[in-house]
Amino acid sequence: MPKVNDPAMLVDQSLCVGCDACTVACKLIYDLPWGVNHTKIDTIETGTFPDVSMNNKKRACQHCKDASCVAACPTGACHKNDMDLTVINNDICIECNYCVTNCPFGAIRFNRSTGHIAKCTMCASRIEEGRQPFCAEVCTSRIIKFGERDEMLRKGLERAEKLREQGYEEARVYGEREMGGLRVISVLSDSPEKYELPVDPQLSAGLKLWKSLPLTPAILVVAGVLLGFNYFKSQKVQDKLKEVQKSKK
Amino acid sequence: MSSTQKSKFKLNRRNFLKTAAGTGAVVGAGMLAGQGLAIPSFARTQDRHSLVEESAEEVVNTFCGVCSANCAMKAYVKDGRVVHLAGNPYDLAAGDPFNPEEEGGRLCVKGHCAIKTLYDPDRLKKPLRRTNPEKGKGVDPQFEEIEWEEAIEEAAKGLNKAIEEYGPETFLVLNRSHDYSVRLGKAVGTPNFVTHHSTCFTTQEAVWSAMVTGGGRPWTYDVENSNYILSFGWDGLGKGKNMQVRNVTRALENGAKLVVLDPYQSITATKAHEWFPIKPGTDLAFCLAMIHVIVKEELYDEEFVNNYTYGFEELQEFAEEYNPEWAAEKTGIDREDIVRIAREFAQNPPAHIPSHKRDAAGPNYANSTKLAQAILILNSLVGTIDRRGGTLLGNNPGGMPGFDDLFPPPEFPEAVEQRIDGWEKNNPFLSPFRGNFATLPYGILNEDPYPVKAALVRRYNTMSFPDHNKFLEAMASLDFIVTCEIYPSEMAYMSDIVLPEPHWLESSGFGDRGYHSLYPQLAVRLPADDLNEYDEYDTKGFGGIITQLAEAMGYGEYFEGVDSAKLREEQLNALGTSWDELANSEHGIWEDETQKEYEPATEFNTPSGRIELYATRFEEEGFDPLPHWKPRREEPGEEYPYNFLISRPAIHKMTQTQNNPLAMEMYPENHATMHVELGQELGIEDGDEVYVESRAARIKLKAKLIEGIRKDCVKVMHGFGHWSKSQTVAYQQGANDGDLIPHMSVEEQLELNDPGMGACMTDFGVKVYKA
Repeated sequence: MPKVNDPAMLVDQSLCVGCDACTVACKLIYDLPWGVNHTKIDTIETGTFPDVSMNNKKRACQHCKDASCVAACPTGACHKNDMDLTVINNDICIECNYCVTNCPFGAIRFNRSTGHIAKCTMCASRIEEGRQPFCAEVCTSRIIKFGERDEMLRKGLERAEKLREQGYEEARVYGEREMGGLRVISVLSDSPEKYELPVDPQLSAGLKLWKSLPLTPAILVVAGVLLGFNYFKSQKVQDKLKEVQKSKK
Repeated sequence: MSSTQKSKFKLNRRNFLKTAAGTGAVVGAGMLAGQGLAIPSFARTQDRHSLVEESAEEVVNTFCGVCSANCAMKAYVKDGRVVHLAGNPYDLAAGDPFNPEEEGGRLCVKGHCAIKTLYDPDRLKKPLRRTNPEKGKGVDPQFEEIEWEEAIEEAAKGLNKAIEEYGPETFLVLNRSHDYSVRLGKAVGTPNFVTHHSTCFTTQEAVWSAMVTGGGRPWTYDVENSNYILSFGWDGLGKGKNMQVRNVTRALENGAKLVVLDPYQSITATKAHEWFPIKPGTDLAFCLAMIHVIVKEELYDEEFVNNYTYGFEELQEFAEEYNPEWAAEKTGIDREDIVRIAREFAQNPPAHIPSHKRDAAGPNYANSTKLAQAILILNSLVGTIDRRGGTLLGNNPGGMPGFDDLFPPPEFPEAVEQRIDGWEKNNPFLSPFRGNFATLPYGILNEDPYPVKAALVRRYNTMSFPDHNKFLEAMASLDFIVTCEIYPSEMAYMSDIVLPEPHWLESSGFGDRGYHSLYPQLAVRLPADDLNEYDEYDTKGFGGIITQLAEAMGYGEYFEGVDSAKLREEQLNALGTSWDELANSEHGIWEDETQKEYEPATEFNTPSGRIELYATRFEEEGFDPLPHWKPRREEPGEEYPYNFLISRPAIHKMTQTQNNPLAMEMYPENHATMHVELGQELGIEDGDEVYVESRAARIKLKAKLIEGIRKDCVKVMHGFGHWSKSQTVAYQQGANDGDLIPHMSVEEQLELNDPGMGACMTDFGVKVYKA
């Protein structure tokens, strides 16, 4: 496929069967340890017998236009790349976990085994090469689509309309305007609450203020010190590791 | 920085692996023993490593061996290791050959996880000999590794000793019918071939054989083109099967209506427009009332019924008594809903009721065969048998020579007719190579009709048997068991000699499109890796094992000239191709271009040449030609007040995947799932440990309280409760549902007078209490 300029994913949550094929394929290809996922299907049960609904939600980075994680990051490690996808440069990440705690979708994790922040990049490198994100590639029910945001949004709106015609009165598209607009457009067969999704979320005033404060130079100095510390400490660990390996041989 | 240091370290290990893979003999045994074969790690900060298509050094065509769908796949190999499996876009099961570029190839979650089984350090690597004579649940066999020569010799000696002492019928062959093991069994002269099918789909098979096909059942559900899908416990979306998930979601996208009747809100039910939590074991009543309405209101497909079915008049008369009021009382579903759904079903063509394996029409209840019969009648009334939007009879490549055609055996000794599981007494509609799991322990323990003391097992787990504890008792009473496996399973733990096989990603062959044969198509299987390159591993294919074993047992003459490669070549030559051509083709697919257009059948393999709504074959054999109402065998009662339901999670394949770390991360254990209010009533909270008890046994597991289940039901997922300590991930996770299913005597089964009699009947009550 030709390279997409304004990338977006369309996830038809109304048809997601929750098999976790996307979760597993993503874990394998990014070699994520036990408990760390870039994407995962959550199942949310609401209602009482026999009017029960079980909704599956693909919990992953939504690539918000007004991204809380980017605003919260003190070093600029969590940033927008040139395709407006939210990615992390782990080389300058100080592992403060502000992005983790500020994500409105619970989509960012700290990977203890690598000491890195783990999040979905929408497979940015694949998109660069004119390929689809992995989850769209493997989805068994083919409900994850990838393309230009306009087209994804249009398809999503059409599908939501169809669902309403079938009697799913609350069916809608999620992500058109939330957090200034998401790059993951979801089709819901019910209200966002039934998917444990925030209703009309926006970048908080606190984070806006934090972002506008002229703290960056000061933070960079602090971050530099921390990184230096981190480097020397890791050298020590490495030396020790080598010693242990030698002694084992 | 630390990240770079780490990735450098990884890189070194990867290079090391590569060298090891290349040289074969020079192996890092220490590393292997310590942590197993690692899939090469990608530097974790480098998103670019997701570009597996660019970076793979080899892409191998193979097909999946997890289930019988045989989805063709492409294995991406990097640094000598399989790093990613993708569906083959040109395959009927995994892809869409009519639109390969756009649709791409897909696999189910089990397929993706398979890499972790291939490289599982717990896999069997060398032949094992038992040193502990004591056998039983939880007993450590104290295996020691031995060489193949010794293993085969000892296996042959052990089996022969029993055969000499008790006669040939003492030899039990316990595996999926396989050319080699069937021949060995016949050479010995035993009638005792037992497969798992009685736990799986004997009801549907008997009904299809009698009413439509004259033998066997179809698997291809074209529900993608259905306009109305009705399910009786069928959970196509919840089992993750590639083509079923694809077809149903496509149908839903196209605006089809989905209605599900299931006591438990299955995944399919969560996607349905309507879910009816029907009373367990009463689906037959619902179907009979539907037949009543459709016949009475003349809503059936007249063209189809007149031209392709037999016995409509008898059906008309039969359906008279089953009115919706009667069914409402039986099922707990409103009369109006029953009538409405019957009308909707008949008036929204093409409409279909798919039924795969252990849904309500699978061998679950004493009336399941009749339900399968009623479903076939309903599908015939709306004209979706072998028609688009319905179940298709399928079209697999024909005219290939079989194993016996190519390698005709010397004459076999005559075997006694009586079998240890009594199978010969009641199943004219099913293959003699099926057998019955439920009656096996009864026969063995009572030596009825004779003692069975030796068994050859392949990849069947003890936990797949109903009344697991009873079955273990029976297996422990055998003198000698040989098991071929890839895992140190519970069956391996009961065995005297265990022979390791390669994983299917290490094997070669070809297969048809098991569950989606729209037209004749074959996919190739080529080895994507070979762990025998390492000293640690010494596995052998099943055909080779049996050939050697037969020779050591003194039956070598039956395998003279037998050659798998020759068979494969001759079979492909019959289709106008060859192994080399298939193996070297770009996508590893062979198909018959002239047969891509689906030709619906106009004649069926029955005495009347039509689909027999009135099954004359059943009548001839003394079974009910029409599905008269019959209740389930046991209703829940005072002592055991709740219905027992069994299901399976999408990510696990029966008892075979619980040692897969990835599958277990996603789904680590099973629960006693029940309604929130039932929990409150019994003083049980979510996560509490509880006992679920039946008249056969009790199991201990955690409770899970939900809303989407009837208040009189307890549901347990299948596959958990492993007790083999050598499966370190699976060990003691959850509990085994099969413990609760009572075994049966042959007499008990004969009393049911059921042509499709199954083994794992779940129509018994259970009780639940806090542990």
